[in-house]
Amino acid sequence: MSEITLNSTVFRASDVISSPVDDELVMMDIEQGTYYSLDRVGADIWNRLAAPLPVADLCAQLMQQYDVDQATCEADVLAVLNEMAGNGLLQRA
Amino acid sequence: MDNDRLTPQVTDPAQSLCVRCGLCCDGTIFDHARLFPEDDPARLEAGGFIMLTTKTGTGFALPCHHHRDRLCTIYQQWRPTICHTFRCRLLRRFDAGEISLEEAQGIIDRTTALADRVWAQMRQHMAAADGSLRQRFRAWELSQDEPDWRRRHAAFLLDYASLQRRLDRDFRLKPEQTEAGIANQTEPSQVGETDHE
Repeated sequence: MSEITLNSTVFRASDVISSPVDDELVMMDIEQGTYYSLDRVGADIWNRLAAPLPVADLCAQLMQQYDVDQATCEADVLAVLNEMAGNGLLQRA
Repeated sequence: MDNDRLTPQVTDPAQSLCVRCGLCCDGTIFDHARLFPEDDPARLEAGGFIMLTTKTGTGFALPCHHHRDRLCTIYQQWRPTICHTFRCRLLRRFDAGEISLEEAQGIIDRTTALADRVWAQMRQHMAAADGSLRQRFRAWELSQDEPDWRRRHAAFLLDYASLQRRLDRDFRLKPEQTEAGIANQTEPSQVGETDHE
């Protein structure tokens, strides 16, 4: 998968299941048998990606939710999304 | 079994957490515990402990056969040194005043409830196996020969992964905290080789 940008539209990969662990989220790739944990903000991002969502819209939603400037939000979100995609946890629409 | 006879005499709050938990004794967190120089291997063996040669010396296998229903049946008697010196991450955070007794109790209750569920499922899958949870899980994984086994057991695998996350986050020591004592098992087998935070 090429790098995700603000112009990309992404959603959760179908082979990933998840379960809350307090305010974190544990996700497991069924095919690989590996698991990942996300902190509260990462879990929030994941929960917003049940359906395809443009990354720019995701950032806009998060900026309304959290006290963060646009540049920081976009950089952090792109880093998280690209890491998720690199581990096969995301698909692109 | 008469639990009144087994219940340890709890004299301080930290001790009450251990009595409520037992995850470091029952094979949920660790595969084995290390011996200290002052421990007598012959006495341990005579007491029914299963002795092991480990990467770091001599130890005994977990689950400990003296641990029953979250209680140590020899708590008031002689025990290996590690049993009364080991302090998990949760206990250290409580000792340091980072979490309250109620918070620590809540973490223990949530984790033991999940551990009980995982153990029950593990026993269903591998009734004949023994050893720690991780060892049984590995044996179970190796026994799977159908290509879609992970999908068929997805709910159990997610429970196992969630338990490992709770143990990693709240109970296991970070590498720099690990001292001569219980061998720290942080990798939850094939499920959880990667743990992103």
